[in-house]
Amino acid sequence: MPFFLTKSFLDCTNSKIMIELERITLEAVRVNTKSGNSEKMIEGSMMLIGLSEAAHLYALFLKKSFHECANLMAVLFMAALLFVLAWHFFTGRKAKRTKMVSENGFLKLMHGYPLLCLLTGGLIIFQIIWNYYMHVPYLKNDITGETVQTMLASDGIYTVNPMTGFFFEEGMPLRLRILCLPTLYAAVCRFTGIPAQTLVYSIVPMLVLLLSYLVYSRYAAWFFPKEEKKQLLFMLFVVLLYQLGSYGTVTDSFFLFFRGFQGAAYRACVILPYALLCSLKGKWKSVILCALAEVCVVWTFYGLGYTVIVAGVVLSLKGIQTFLEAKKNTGKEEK
Amino acid sequence: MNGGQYLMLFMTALLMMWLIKPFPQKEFRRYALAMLLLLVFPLTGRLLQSYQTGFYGKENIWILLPVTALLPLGLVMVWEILTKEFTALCGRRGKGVSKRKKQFLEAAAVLALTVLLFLCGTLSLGRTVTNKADGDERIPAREEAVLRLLDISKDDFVTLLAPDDVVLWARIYSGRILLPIGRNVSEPELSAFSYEACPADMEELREWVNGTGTADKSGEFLDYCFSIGCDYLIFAKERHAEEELQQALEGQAFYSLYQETESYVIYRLP
Repeated sequence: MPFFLTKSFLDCTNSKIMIELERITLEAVRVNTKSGNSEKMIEGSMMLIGLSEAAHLYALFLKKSFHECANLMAVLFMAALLFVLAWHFFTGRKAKRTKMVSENGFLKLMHGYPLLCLLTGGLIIFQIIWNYYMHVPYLKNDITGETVQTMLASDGIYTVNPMTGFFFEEGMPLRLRILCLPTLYAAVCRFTGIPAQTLVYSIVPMLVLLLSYLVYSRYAAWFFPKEEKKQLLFMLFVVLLYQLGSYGTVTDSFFLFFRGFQGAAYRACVILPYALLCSLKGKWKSVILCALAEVCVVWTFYGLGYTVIVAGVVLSLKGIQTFLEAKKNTGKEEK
Repeated sequence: MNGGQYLMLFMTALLMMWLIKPFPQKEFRRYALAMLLLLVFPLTGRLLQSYQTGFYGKENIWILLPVTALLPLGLVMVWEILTKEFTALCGRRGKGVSKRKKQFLEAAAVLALTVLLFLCGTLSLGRTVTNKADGDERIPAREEAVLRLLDISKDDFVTLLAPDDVVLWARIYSGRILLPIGRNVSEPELSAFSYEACPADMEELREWVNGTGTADKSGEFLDYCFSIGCDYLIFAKERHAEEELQQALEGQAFYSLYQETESYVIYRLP
């Protein structure tokens, strides 16, 4: 009988896999108390999108007007903000008792490596000014700006054709209508008074770029724990890679600098890298959040986006690794 | 845009990570290799493409590859090796290098790797496909100037027939501008955003307003514009100078000259 069918091997493998699965499950249900500020900001942006999606779907399917949708969004955001503040207030007291260790605080890094910090920061500022304020937007295959203006002018959600301004006769595909980003942008424009062009083509891409850098700063901390210089160098190379990497229409750099306002950019540069990092760290709760955020911003396969593939591949690799280790151990035991 | 070699650099970095021992984040390395293989093999690549609705091109599935995370990691590792080598070379005579010299060597290694990134990248500062913004609201100044002249009230809509360059920005400028010929006529790929079919006569109308058509039907088109309630007509200066259009505009009573800018002429219903 081949060794991989022996009872002892199967028992050993099954128990290893069960232990790993149990660990993953425990990790998934455990309240993540160790999230740093960067993680909070990244996941906060995803939650914001989730709340917008709820308001958007409510208005879309119940045929409510845009202003009702925007009001609901504002209420949800306020409720979320109050919840976060209350949470912070109650959990903050406990946290004060234990000494907080600041991980890679900006001031600490600035004090240790001022030149590297200034160089990286300067390049990021240059990217923002050069790409989002000094050039006209890249509009190929995109109608986000028109859609936002249409919602503001017509007070409806996808009732009017954004390309002409006339009422739809045949309508718009549902796969596009369920995406919430244009509604979120229009709601922000409505409440802040910021011109739609400025919000869509300057402010949103800038925020996505900064969120992307936050995600990669988490990679830096994961790759090089307690090695500040290497972390900063890693970030410098990420900045340079973005700066010089717009050579194809699907590179991260192109997404950020040319289509930063699209859901595809947010997915490619924030959701996917963060989902991969969380999968590798075993933070499955965050991975689920990424998968849900992806559904809200891009067209997916019945709700199954790239995040599911990323998590699936990582899980499969972990499973294979556990299997191989079990096999190795069984071989040793049999010897 | 072309000339990017980052995928080659990615594969080199990945290979290097398999050769360097000990490597701390093995799971990340395994994921990168597994994803690369899934994308490279035609069958799995096809499956991934089908999974992503099949609507997008194959290049879109390459965003699954963690290029932006792996390449800088590889570069930092190379930087470490380079710094060690440089330091060993400079301190050959049994003496260690001074702190200042070490900093200089580290900076030299960063510079060398930056040059590598630069040579494998686009060799430009990006944004080679869009022009410098010269208007106030991220709209080209030529188009912004003409759109500003339209009398758009807060409660009303205006209907506009204009050349492609103006149409591109018109509804981004204001949602209260209605376009009988939208961007979907000049950019058919945008039809994927709606089920609306574009009437065949719109293409002819577009050619007329842009001055690319051959038929001498200016009189008919002006009547048609009036019949569909077009409030404004915009022509490029070169188009407006054409004799056939001039004669048709002089021979009609609906539209009168309203304003003009450096590049465009605006007609309006009185």
